[in-house]
Amino acid sequence: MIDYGDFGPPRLAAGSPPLNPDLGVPRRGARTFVDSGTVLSTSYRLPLLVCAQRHYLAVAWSPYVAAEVARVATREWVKAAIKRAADQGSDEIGRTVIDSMETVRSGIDKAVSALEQSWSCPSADALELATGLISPLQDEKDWPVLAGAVAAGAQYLLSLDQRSFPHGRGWRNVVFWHPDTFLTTFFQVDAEAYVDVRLDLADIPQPIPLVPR
Amino acid sequence: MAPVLEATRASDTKYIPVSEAAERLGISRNSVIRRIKAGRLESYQDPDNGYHFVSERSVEATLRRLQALRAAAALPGSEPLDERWDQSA
Repeated sequence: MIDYGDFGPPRLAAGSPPLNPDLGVPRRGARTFVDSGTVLSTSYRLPLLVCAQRHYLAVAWSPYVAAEVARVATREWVKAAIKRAADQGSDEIGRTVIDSMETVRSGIDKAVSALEQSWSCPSADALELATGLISPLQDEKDWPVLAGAVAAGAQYLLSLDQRSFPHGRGWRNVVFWHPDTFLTTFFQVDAEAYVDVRLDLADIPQPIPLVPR
Repeated sequence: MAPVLEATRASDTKYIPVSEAAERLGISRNSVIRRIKAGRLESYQDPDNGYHFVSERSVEATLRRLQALRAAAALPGSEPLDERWDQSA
């Protein structure tokens, strides 16, 4: 009987790919590469950070992924700031955008720095070597993500992009997993990791300023 | 202020009261107790009065992790935590 302490058992979100025993179970220490969509989702980013901090998983990303996270985070934040200014009838939308950019840059820098403490990056040489391979993907813009996973020596690539990285498929030694199915599968066999994540998530403030208010 | 205890004569580990650990970590006393009971904070229970004391070393390690987690949680523009991670344990 697995003991999840004060917490209920891990469960999948509606719409996530179901657990599939044929895919095996991620083991402690598994090398796991994350794409930008996974990082931008707090429900995946924070558990993966706790797992990396405590060495339950060896999480990796790349400069490309980090830059993509910064780009999308900036875009979403500024879009929200413009909308808010427009809704309020402000005639200083330009000023709002500039102010918003300064706020968002600071938040992104701090978050990326925190993630970098526990997530590794493949070396420049490994990235160059992997990027030189012939991409199996139809969409070339996703190639840097897969090349990053290969360069990192990852066993798993976590992505919400089910078109380029369909759950359960893979390339070379990398298997693509939906991050929710991955974490749920992992936590179902590693209660210690799950309890640590729950304990830590219970002690951070929520909600964080995800969009300007 | 409560006295700093020595865990054993063989150790130079310093222990602090639960309230001080909670203050340093920026979390509730209940959270500290929950972490102690889950074995996630190195602790010592005074046999005379039953009070828990937490090792300063484990508080500092936890604080470093929580600070990084809080900074990572504040990534602007990201999706919020979903309800499965309901934070009221």
